Amino acid sequence: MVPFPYDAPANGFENDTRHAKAALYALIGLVSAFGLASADFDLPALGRGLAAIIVSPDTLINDYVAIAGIGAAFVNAALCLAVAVAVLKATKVSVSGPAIAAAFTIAGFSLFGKNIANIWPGLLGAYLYAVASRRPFGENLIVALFGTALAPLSSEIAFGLGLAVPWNFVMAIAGGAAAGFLLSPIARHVLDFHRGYNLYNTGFAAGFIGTVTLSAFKALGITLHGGFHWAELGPGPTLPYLAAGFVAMIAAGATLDKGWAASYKRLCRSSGRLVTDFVRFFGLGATLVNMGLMGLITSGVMLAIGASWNGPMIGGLLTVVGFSAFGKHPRNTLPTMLGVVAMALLSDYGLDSPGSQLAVLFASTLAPIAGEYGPVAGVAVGMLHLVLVQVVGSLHGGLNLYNNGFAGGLSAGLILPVLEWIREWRRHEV
Amino acid sequence: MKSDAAHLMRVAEEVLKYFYLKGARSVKVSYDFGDERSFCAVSTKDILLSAEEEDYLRRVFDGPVQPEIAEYYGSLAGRRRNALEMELVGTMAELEDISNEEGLGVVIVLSRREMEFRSSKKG
Repeated sequence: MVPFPYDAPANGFENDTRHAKAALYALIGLVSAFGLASADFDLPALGRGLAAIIVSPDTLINDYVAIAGIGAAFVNAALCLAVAVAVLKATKVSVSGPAIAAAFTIAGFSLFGKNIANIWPGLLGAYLYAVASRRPFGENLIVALFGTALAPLSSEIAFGLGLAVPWNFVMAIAGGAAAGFLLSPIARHVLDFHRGYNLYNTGFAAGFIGTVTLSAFKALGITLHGGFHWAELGPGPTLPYLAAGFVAMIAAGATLDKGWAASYKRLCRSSGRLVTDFVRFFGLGATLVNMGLMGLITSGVMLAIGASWNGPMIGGLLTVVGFSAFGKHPRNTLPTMLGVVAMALLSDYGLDSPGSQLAVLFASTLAPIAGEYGPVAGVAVGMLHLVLVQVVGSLHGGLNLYNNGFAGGLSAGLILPVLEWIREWRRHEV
Repeated sequence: MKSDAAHLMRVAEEVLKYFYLKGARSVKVSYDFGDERSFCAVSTKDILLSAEEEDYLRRVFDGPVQPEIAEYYGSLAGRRRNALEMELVGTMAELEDISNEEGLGVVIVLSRREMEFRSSKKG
């Protein structure tokens, strides 16, 4: 067959992805600089902090700020982010919405559960899946990066089960790699359950793997050793820097794209359902403006609910900002947050509990429901999400860091047929 | 079945659905599966697209194939009865040609390379 002559398409996508990659490099620099400055550039203390992070059992909730201090926690986040960006570069995957979301999610969760040692087995498993499937690793990279949700499994095997060296490391790598391998097909399969209305789909899949793993541990009489660590920093040490970063994102977006306002208007009309790659369809300018705005709005929500400013909450904030390149915007996110707040106040959970505070941020995984079916549906699914997320963590024992992704998948899958029926009934199609 | 062939069929189905929702009732879909690159053409004489609709299709398919998205989320295409997944299938194929003329109707030709190993370059 004679191939057609090809020229690169005359659109801004290539430029946008180049700029996005540069922005991720800048983020690595800023996060590491903040970590180093917070630790007063005391490198031996940072080394001890990183060592403490690596050997701690990482099942939910293990706040690295409480374990090793804010400096070591942010340096760990910078290192993990650097790994993610290096893998993106090595596989030549475009840095558009999904890649940005994955990078920010890894940076955020590296403040409470992912570290520079325990993310590798999962990546190895996803790589082996690609090799076994005879496909390029780049095709599986988004699953691989999000799949680091199961990183605590490796830490738990290595440091929590009391296995002798070096077998603990061998088993940790094998266990983490097996989880990463299995996650690849399962993540694709579970999309069918919620039809793309749960943005943290890999977390949904990881929840099932975590549940099976914990069940197997229990059958073998193995207990998890993770503890609960939750720092109470207050907004002072981090909020000014984060806010400055978000304002810089807005300024950069507005500078990159003079017509960002019109694009942003269209962006806010999208449902956000998977796959809505804001960079590809609305440009990097409008996307950066959305990310900055969402950062400021979410910070405002955290202040309003009196959230604890610590590793998990800042991690949640960064995740929301990352997914603001891949489905989230103010119109579809705020109703789900409001639903969680309302249910927390109506129920015994209250807004003081860590689970409720995290759910306010992470319920935005269900933003596409509000985007597609309206704000009332968004509030309703947010309420459902809170009652589920407070319970489902016990199924996997915190082995899955994306507990809200697991609960979000269940919430979306359960409410979707009802919403669809109501829509068809209102159109007189039932 | 080769992965690129399966993806191209998903794309064609979605474009067919798009034409149907715009009012077309007679739509032709043809494929040319090659060793290195495969093509599909979807055509109808029933409708003419407005300038905005043509621009939308160009925007959807004018970017490069993004295998990392297509391989992960590809199964979501065609899942909704009354809605389209054009943004998703836009990551699965590249636009070769689109013609939209009075009397001739609409023809859109798309292609996909087998084993897309990177999303930022055409082969």
